[in-house]
Amino acid sequence: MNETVKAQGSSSRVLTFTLDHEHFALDIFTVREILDVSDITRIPQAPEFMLGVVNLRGNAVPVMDLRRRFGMPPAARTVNSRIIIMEMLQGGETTLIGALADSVKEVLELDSGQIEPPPRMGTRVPIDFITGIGKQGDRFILLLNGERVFALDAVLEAASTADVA
Amino acid sequence: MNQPDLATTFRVEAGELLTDLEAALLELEEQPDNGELVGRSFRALHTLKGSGGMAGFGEIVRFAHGVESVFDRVRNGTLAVERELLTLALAAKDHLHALLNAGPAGGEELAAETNELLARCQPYLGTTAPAGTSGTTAAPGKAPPKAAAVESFWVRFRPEVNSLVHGSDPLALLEELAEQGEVKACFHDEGIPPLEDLTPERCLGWWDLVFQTGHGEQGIRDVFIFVDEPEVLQVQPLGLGQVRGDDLTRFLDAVKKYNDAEKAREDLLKSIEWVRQERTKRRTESAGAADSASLRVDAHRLDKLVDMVGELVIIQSRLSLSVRGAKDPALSQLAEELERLSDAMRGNALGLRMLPIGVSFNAFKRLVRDLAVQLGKDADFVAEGAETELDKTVIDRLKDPLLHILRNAVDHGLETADERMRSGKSAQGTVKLTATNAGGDVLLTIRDDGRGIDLEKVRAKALARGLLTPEANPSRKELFALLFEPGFSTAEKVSDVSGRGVGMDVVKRSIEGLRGSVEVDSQPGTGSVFSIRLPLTLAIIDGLGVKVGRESFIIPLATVEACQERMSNDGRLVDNIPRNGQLIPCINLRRLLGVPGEPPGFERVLIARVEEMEVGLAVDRVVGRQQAVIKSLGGIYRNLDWISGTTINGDGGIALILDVAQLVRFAYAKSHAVH
Repeated sequence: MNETVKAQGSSSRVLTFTLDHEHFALDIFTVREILDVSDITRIPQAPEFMLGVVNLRGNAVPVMDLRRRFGMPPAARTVNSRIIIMEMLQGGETTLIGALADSVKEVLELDSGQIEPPPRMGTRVPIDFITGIGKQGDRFILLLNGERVFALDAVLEAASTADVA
Repeated sequence: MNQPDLATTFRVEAGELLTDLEAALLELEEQPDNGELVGRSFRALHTLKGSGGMAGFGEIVRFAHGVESVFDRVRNGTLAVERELLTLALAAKDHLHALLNAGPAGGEELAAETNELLARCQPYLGTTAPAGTSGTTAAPGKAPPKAAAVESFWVRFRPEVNSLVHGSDPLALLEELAEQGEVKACFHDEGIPPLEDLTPERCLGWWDLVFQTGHGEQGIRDVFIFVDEPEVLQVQPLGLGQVRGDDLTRFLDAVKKYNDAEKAREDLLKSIEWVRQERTKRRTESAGAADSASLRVDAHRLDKLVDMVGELVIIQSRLSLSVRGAKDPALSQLAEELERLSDAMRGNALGLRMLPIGVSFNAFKRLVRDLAVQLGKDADFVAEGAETELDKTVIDRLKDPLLHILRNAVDHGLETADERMRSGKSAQGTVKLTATNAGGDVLLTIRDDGRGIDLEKVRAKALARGLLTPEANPSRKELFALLFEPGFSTAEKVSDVSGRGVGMDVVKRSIEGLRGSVEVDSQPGTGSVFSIRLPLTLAIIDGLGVKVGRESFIIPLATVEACQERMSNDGRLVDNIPRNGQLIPCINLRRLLGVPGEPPGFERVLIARVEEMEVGLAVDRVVGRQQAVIKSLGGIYRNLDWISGTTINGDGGIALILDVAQLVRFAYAKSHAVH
């Protein structure tokens, strides 16, 4: 709205969402769509943070529980829960993967002035998963590194050590 | 809608022409006197040349012209069809393919090979200068100047009476002209008196010439530069680019009857028009000859359509389920009609991707032929059941395994002609490929009448490779199955063609990847037969829907032999159950897959056959037979090899399709880990 203000350097467009009252963000470029939470079919022998697969127009798309992924306590679904469907390029192929969020907020444009590098420690989330901390007003938003969070190899590795009892 | 450009259209059509050409050439080998096949080959080359010219593929025009000239001679009966000629023609077809892929501008790197092949055509042509190559310093590797457009002309040459006295030798001029292109000449001797009255120094005869040249009208005028006057020289371009020898003769006939140049021209123009029409007719004939009732469709679009129909069917079945609950007769009626329609749509859509397997047969025939020639054997390839249909993807993925089996048959299976005759067989060996439908499967057999497989050698090799222990006593079937183990090969030496021992196991894996099976049987001295069984389509599996807790699974019907009941066990992963008087292992799926909840009092046990063994799979209940459209699960779960895919149930839920063999392995691994 303020046409005279020109963004300094590069700006990022992100989708913000919440997990356990904290705000997170994912690069909008990778977000394909947002679904209401429907039946998630459990896939046995998968790591705990994988909830299963969901029916997306005839295709089975895996869904990750981001709370579990980040080591947060799991929570019950609410009317605000959503599944964010991400489109990632992995191993030369485009794959779809869903992420369960407590609620989805808005699309924000953050310019580089509003983004700080992640602190060395003290974040709730493993530092590898964060590219930076954005500030919007008096709110802090953890910008996630989509590639690391949804990294195929990490998931597979976790799967192989999954409890098979 | 995108309009494909000329080059793309030409590429697609040329591809078909080349396939047709190869088929005709291969048939010619068996029927060398079949004029129709010769005509087909010639027409393919001719059309390639013409269309190639229009689409800007200069090198194809140049090359095709040379090969076409050879076939022209065969057409005229001047040349006989022989094996060497056919080998050359097949090599020419391959080269045309390479030129086609190189694109309109890319022909120049291949020019050296073009020249080499054209040179090999020379002996068949009996002339010294094929059109278009004059002016080339044929050093190998040096690209010739870009082939100029070839045109046809009518030249009427009436040398002046005293031209010989003036030092102009008509014969020399004509010879010079002949160097520029193909000439058909008619000498008019009406003005020449009988011998007694003839004065040799007077030039009283004249010529009508019709010829093709790449040097244009200027080239002609250059030759006659000293006598270029209207009474002496008349040049009429025919405007048709390159024409056939027949057509040149036709033009010549049109002009030579007329003394009056004007009248000659009139008739000539009529002839040109006639040839032009014939050409277009011929071109549309060969283009439309293949299949006037079929349409070329982009495969990608077809896949999308099939996908959408699949989704439609899913939504329709969910609708039907809801409608059933609503108990509204009007709604039920509509739902039923919709169900009928979408079932038909689905059947139709899947059928769209089906192609007759015969499309690959050409490649097989060619392989057997080339291989036989290369190895000095006499081999015939016979194919049956070309009209048997398979999903396009299956056909594509089958090509390599089948080629490998064929290669094996010709290389190792078939003996040389001498060997065969010594054992009382015919000199020519036969490799026969049969395709038939059997229930919901397609059966392919490749049979050769060669030396068969020596089981003793197989056993020895297996022992040496550690695939067999010395005490083991495998059955015939088991021994044959060893051939498909990785690293196994009974060839004495690794030939260029086969024998590296990496073939058969890859073949087996490829076929199993198509949910098929392969086995081999053989009689020493009589031959061997490879049998491949494949499902009709990869997209759908005939399965049995089962439920464990609230989770749904699909078990491929092909693996299920029977269904029993039992009381829920104590939750042990694997235990034994009675079956036909024996005890077989039974896997508790609830325990194996960690399904939450309590088991019901009674469980159903599906008896599945895995390789040679029977295994029970305990589930809560059997829902029913289900035709499941398979969707792959995706990268993240790819290590779960006991899941072959997912499918959407009628109620919108997802069911996992189980790979029973892998599931059994998983169960065993888990149960041993516990102990």
